[in-house]
Amino acid sequence: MVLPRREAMGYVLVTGLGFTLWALLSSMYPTIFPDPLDALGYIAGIGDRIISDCIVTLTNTIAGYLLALGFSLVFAGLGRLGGLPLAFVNALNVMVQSVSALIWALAFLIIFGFTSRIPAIGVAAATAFPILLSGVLKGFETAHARYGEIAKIFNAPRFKSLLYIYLPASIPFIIASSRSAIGAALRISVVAEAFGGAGGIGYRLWLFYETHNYEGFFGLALVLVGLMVFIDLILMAPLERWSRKWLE
Amino acid sequence: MARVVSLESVEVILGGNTILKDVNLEVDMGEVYAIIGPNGSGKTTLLKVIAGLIEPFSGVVRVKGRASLVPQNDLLLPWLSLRDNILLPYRIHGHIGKDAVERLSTLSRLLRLESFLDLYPRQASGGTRRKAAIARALIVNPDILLLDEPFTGLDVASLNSLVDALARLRGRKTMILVSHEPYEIARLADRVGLLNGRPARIVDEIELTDMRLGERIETITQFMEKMLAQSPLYNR
Repeated sequence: MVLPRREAMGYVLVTGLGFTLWALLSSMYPTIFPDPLDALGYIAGIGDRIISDCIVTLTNTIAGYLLALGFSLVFAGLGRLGGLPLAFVNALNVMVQSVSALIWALAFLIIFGFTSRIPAIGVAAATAFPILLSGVLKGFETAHARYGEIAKIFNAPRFKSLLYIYLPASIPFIIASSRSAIGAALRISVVAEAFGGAGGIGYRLWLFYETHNYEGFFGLALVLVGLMVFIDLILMAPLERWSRKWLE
Repeated sequence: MARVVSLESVEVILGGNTILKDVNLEVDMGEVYAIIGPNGSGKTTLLKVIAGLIEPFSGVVRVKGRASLVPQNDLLLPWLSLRDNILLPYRIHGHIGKDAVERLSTLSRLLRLESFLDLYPRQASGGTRRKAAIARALIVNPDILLLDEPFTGLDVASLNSLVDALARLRGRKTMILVSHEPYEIARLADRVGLLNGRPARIVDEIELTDMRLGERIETITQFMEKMLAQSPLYNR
């Protein structure tokens, strides 16, 4: 079963409450809040455009995540070289974390232009990178405590011990941090899309806002929330549960 | 007989504490030497010194040939099958060729592991896991096998099977083992050394070679009782 019954009931209750509140607000302020069914009907009517926006946003997010994962593995591997490299990697992690997503978004837009998809990908990568790097570093640290002696006993060269011992032992940590990183990257990449003109859910949301198309805005917002919940519950949570068995 | 391990006045300091001091030990080729001592006396540290994993602060350590350590908690990698765990040293130092497969086959026959090679560590019994850890140490064809508490935490069946497996290695490998189990030591060891004191050193040794099993068990039990009476770790 993907979701335990009680957990599923929790989601049903929250969804029910959300729709009730929305319907209530719609009846009180009909010029701002459209009827939930009208909003969903509008989105369904332009389904092909919404699907292509979702694909753009998802590919931006996944590309950013993969870029961040690659950099995290390289920097965490660098951190295994000694005390000073590790201090450098930890400092880099804190520095990257300290930069606001808005700064990343605007900086990438200035550098790569408004019609490029690179700003959205770059912002997703910059958001995911510190989360992933912390996860990989924690994984390596735990792997060292548990299995470091094996590398020592067999006199494993640094790269081989990384490849055959530290990296596999870190998989549960990488997957757990990937769950947070993908969620954060998806939330932030739509902000970067909103500032640019290269498509995606963020771009479409901004367009609906600018044109006072509130049916489209609220309907698409709902699609975005649904997409995030779907990715987390259907893909990432089961993957994380599976990964916990990896070290048993 | 050729001497393969020789320690002279070895002193080990870890984290500012002197763990071993003035340790002298000599082990001959093909001999099975058991080290007994109270918990925390430095037995594992001594094995790690012989394995080259800990540098002594002073003294001389001479090891002829390659020593391979089987750690106390096996340290099998849970994401690999027992077969891949055993072949890990080959994977780390090159590739798994015909010689590795042949060696795996010989060792798994010797240690009666053939039918368990595809299991993952969590699916195997404690004794099978321990034998897989021993096979992993042996696959690099070491001259000296160092076993850290190999009999701890095993049920009777696993224990007997492991002792039988180690008995089959007698004469082929020099073995130094740390253990608290008098019966298993009696079945395997040629000599027993008592590591005791703070800091610890080898304070006494007994030769078991010419004794029968019953006599060996009795001698080791008396030796252990003497250790308990003398140990500062037990008489606080």
